[in-house]
This record gives sequence, structure tokens and C-alpha cells, in this order.
Amino acid sequence: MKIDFVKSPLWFRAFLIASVILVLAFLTLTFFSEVTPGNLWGLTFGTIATLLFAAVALYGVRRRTMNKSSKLKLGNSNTWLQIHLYGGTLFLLLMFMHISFTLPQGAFNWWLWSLSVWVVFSGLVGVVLQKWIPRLLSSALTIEVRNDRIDELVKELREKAEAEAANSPAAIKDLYERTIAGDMTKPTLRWTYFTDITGGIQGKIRQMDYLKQFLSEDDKKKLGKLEMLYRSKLECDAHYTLQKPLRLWLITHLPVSIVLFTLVLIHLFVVFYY
Amino acid sequence: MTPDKFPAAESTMAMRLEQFKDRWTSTSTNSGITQIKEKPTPSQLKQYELFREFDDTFLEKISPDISIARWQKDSILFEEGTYIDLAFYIINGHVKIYSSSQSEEKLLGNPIFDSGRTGAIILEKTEKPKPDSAPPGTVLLIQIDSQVKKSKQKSSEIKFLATMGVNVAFGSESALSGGDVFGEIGALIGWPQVVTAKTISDCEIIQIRVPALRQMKRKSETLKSRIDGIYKDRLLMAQLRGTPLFQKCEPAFLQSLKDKMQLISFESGEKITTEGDPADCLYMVRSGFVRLAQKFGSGEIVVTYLSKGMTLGEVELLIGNTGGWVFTASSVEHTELVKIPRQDFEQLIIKFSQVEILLWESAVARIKESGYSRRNIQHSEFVSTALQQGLVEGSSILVIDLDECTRCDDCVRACAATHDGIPRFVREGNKYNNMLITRACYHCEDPVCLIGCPTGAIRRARVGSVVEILPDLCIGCKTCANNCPYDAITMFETGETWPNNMIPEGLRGKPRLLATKCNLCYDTGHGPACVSNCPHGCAYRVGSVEQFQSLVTRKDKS
Repeated sequence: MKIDFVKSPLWFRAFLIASVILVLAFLTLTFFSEVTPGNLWGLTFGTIATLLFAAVALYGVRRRTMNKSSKLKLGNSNTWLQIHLYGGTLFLLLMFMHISFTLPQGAFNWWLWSLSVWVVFSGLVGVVLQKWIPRLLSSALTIEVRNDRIDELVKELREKAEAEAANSPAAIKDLYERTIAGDMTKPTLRWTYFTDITGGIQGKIRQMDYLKQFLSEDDKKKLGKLEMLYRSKLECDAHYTLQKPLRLWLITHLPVSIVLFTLVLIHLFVVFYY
Repeated sequence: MTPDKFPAAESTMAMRLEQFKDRWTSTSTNSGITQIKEKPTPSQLKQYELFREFDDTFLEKISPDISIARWQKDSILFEEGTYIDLAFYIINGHVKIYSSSQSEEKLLGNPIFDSGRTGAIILEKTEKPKPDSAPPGTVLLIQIDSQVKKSKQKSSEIKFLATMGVNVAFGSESALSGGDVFGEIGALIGWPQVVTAKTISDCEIIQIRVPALRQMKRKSETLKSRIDGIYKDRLLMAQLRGTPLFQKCEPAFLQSLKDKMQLISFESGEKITTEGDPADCLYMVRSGFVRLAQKFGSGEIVVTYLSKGMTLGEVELLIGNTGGWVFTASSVEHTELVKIPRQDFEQLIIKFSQVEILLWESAVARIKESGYSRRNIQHSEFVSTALQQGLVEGSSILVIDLDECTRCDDCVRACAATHDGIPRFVREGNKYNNMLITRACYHCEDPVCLIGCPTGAIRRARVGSVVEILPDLCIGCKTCANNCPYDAITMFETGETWPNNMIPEGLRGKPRLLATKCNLCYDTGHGPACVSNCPHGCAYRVGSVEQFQSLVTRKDKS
């Protein structure tokens, strides 16, 4: 499974160039004088970092004002996301340069430093998840299902499977009750899907294949239908398991970003007031 | 959902009361019908020449698609540029036909249909106007010569609009009266009307919907030959000269060829040719799609498909010893074809080497496609999918690359945000090669959803091929949703019930539904919101099978 982490090489190149320029500027400055958070260059890096942080945060606003953004022709969401990603990473670099790549002093500064690192790294984890999981989902699953419809679909599959089993001979009914019915009750989280997208589906339906050789053509068809329903349910489980982290990682990113934003505002107030 | 998110029932009611009588018009935007009789009985229909040859059972069957309407003076029956699904037969009164809203250049410059595979076929200028007829700058079709009109009125023979002798000049007018039929060609072939029709006196008109018209045409040789005759006389020449194949042919030759051509039609799934049967003609598609398949092992593989302007039979007729038809051709939907007999085909290629070269090119391409499909079953699968899932039909299909899609549903949210909180598609559909072909409206070349809407709420928006639903007019009857083969129209529950004065009566007290579908955000001043708001850039609008294929290929390469 090939994952393309750099979808827009242009943005990536621009990011690399900006990073190199900033690092060279920092090295040049440190060669001639010291960079501290309170001196001219330290404040310059801090100001750029703050402005970049504010710009990066606008992506969230863009996502929540789709209609207005479209009407005002503020560019497509993809461009905003690229700015968000690369700008966010540059923010961290600038923040490090602002404090001259030293560790912070004082509790408040520690909070600022740790939350900045957390926000950027949780964002990067999100990028990895968003690149990895969609590929994983589409690599072997035959069905595509919306997260909010999984419950409804599983219920539908269970009802169909129960009806199919009820109209089948005792051997099929027995197999259904012993090995399948339990799995059909509700969407199930199975961590195995992260390492094996088929989640051992083939293994789970092996008993059905074995039973087929003892059945008449008609009953084979019935078992075939049941197998299809079971397979669909297991694929729903895969979606259920894998779509979760795509949504949940945001919890690790967004609330912390809001806290960081507040701390940055306090930091600015403190710097300018005192 | 709050009531302010969709038009209030009262607003629809007011419009409905105003427009109910006009549900048989092409647009339902005026109220010219003063009286209407739906489902006329066979005996009522048999009073008119047009229906006399049909038996009662048949007339009973088609009567739901026929109405007899009394139109008041100065009502617009249809407008230039609109797509209609009706043909009109005047019982009495006069209708004015004119073409004035568009300049000649604009009209002639716009392709009637756009086919990337065959080149655009545009409405041709007619041959040089005869000195005694219309002035320079005339469009194909229609005018009533007053003398012709007078003689016609005396005759009981049915006259069709397009059989009229000369052309309508831009800015000029002409009139039709009792016994004339008009609108039938555009309705049958799915072309936009090139004229506006307006009543100039109170008129009584029989209105026939396309399903009934098609059945009548199939049942009656006389009617078929009349309609085909009109088509041949007036439109076929233009269509032929618009195809790359016949562009270089002399008008005189095309004229003689035209007379020998047969116009045939097939319903969905009908076989046109069978592999191995003797091949004796060349076919050209004039509307619809044809699927070409070949035997492969114990089954068959789909090699390619033909669309408007493409030909079938060049391989067999040029090579000669292919052992009959090389392909089994079947109709994907209602398809209209032109059939050129072998003898005329041979004359054609003797006379015009350019035609022969083009046909050889087409034959070579077809043979290559056949070989490619045999070597590469994926290609065959792709063509088959494209036909089954209507990719050939759509002019703007929303596809999502599932390898990139994070299932964030921002596309759906953007759609809802743009359309008052009601999303016009769901992120579901069929998959091909990890591309999700969503159930958002395809904006079909031949939108069958338009057929049968009782209020005219669903219509072409006159912006490209955009099909839209006017919520103010929708009564939630589900006809369009049931007609759409791709489940692209969803019925939205408003949570209200229809008031007790609702027309039709059948809806009174029933839940008020609203049909919703994508309109490509054409009225918002920006492009489709689903695409521009996808943060991962994985939502695409594709306008043709070729675009879809190149998207898939690009993805495969990356």
C-alpha cells in the first residue's frame, strides 16, 4: 500500500524553502549576536510565529463558514488545508527560534511550549491517519458506508440474516446461531483491522465453506446469501473501527489548540503590557 | 429542520393554484390553460385524424399521457432553447411560431449536443435560401407559407410543423392552425426547441407526452414515416453535415443518400446486431447509446459503446470477409439510429475518399479497442461499468477518490450550507477502482426525470445541461425520483402536511415532501460547493467517460 504523504509538491517545496531560509537566518543571527525571546530578533520570530498561528487557525473558521467562504470566493478548502498544515509546522519552528531552541522557563512558558508541541504533533498524527486509513479502507473492502449509517445498516443486515437463517435447513440455522448470530448483533470494534483490513473474514467464513459440500444446490444458495450478509457486516465493523480514529484524533488537536490560542493571547498581553 | 429552510406551503399553494392548469405546459411558468381534459377517452381521441388509425385498447393505454387543453390567447406554449417532452396537435385556433430571442450567430454557434468522442454537432445553416422564400439569416425549420396554409386548412391531412416549405427568418413570424402538429422532433430526440410557440387566438390543443408519442410512432407506420420524413427533410441533413464523417460530402450526394437512409429506433436492451449474422449496412447513432460486445470464452466482453454521431458497420463493410457482424450491438436506452444500406455505403466510399479514410480510421480504432478489451479485461469492465452506471449519460458526475477521502463529509455539509440546510446528495453510491460515483445528479444528456412531472417543477435550468427543481412548484409526487435511474433525487420530509385546499385533491392532508437534487450550485455565483469545500481535494466533477477514465488512469499511475 503506497501512501503519498506529499500530495502537493509545490506546497512542500515552498515549505522547505521557507524553513531553510528561516534556519539560515537564525544561524546567521546567532553567529553575530544572541537571540533571546525579549530582544529584537527574538521578538520578530515570536511575532511572525503568532501571526502564522492566527492565520493557521483561520482554517477552522473557513470550515465552519462554507457558504460565506464560497460566496466570497475565498479559495478552495484544499488550499486552506495546505496553509494550515505547512503554516502550523513553520509556527513550531518559529516558536523554537523565538526561544533560541532552549527549554522554556517558568510554568506559563512551559505550558505554552508543551501545548505548541502537542498541537503541532497531534496535527501531524492526524495527517498520518488521514493518509493511512482511507487507503486501508479502500484497499480491500468492497462496501463503502457512512459512519452515521453503520448502526442502521448493521440492523438491516441482521434482520435479513435472521430471516434467511429462519428459512434455511437445520444445519444452516444451527451454524448461524452458534457462530454468526453473536457477531451480527451490533457494530463491533476490532483492533485487528488496523493490521489486517480483512480482519480474518475468510477465516470466519471457513465453516460456511465446509458446510457447503453437504448441502443441496438450493441450500447452497441460501448459505451463499447468508455468507454475503455476514461478510458485509464484518466489513461494516472494519469501517466502524477504522473511521473512529479519523474522527477522534480531532479531539486531541482542536480543544488543545483553543487552549493554546488563549494562552498565546495572554502571552501577548503580558509582553505588551509589561 | 425549520420551516424557513424551504418554501412555505402557502407559497407553493399560491403558485399551485395559479399554475395547476398549466401543468401540461413545457415550463408551467404562465397560466394560459383555461380548461383541461386529462385522459381523454378513445372515442374522444378518435374524433381527430391523428388518432383514427389506433384501436381503443391502445388509445386507452396511452391516454394518461395525453390531454386536451384550451389555451387562452397570447400564451406561451414553449420557448426557444427549452427542452420539452410534449408534442402539440392543434384542434382549432392559431399558434404563432417565431425565433427572435437569439441572434443567428449565437444559435448556430452553440452545439445542440456536445460529444467529445464525435465532435460537436451543431445546428447547421440551411442551404442558401430560395429567392422567393426567407431572407438571408434564416434558421432551419419552419414557416407557414400562407398559400400552403390555405390549402392545408381545406385538407383533412395532418400537417406537421417541420413539413412546412420554407424557413423562419429571425425576427419573423409564422402561424399554425387546426390540424398542425409541432414540437414532436425536439421532444422525441431531446433537442432544445429552436423557436417559441405562442397562441394568437384561443386554441384547443391536444398535448401528447413523449412516452405516448414514442408508442404511437412504434405502432403506426404512417405516423412513423411522417415523423421520420420530417426529420429526414429538415434535420437529418444538418445532423449529417455536422458529423465529422459527412462534413466533406457534397450536399447533392447527401441529399440522395438521405432518401435511401432508414430511421430506426430501439428500446433499452434490444439487440441491433448479433455477432456472426450477415452485415449489410452501416448504422449511425442519432440519439442514445449502443453497447458493443463480443463473445469471449463462454460469455461476452463489452468492447466499447457508441454515442451520437458514431457509426457501426464500417469494420464489416470495409474489410468484407469478417464473417458477418463482428460485434453484438444492443441499445443501452431508447436509441435512434440511421441505417445506410450496403449498396449506398459502397457508392459513398467510391465517391468520397475522405469518407473512406475516416471510416477506415474508425474501423482501425474499433479493432484496436476490441483487441485491447480482449487483452485487458479491466478495460471491458470499465466500459461495462460506465454503461451500467450511466457515466455515458451524465454531463457532470460527482466522483470521490476513496483513497484520499477521510469521510469527513465536508462535501455534504457544504452542499447543505449552500442550499438552506438541505443537502442535495448523500455520500453513497457505486464504487469503481476506489472511486465513489456518488448519487448526486448526473445532469444527464437525456434527463428522464423530466418526463411526467405534473407541475413542471423539474426542468432544464438553461445553464449548460443543468437540471433543477423549483421548490415552489414541487408537490412531492416522487415521479422524478422514481424516474431517475441513478437514485439521485431524494424526497425531503418537510414535516408539514398539505392544506385542505391543495390541488390535486389527492394530496390534501398528506405529508408534504419536497424533491431535492443537485443543481451544480449554478444559481450561487460559485462552482459546485462540494468540490471547492473538499479539504483533501478528492472530490471531482467529471463531464464524460473519458474524463473519468483519465482520472482513474492518473490515479493508477500516481
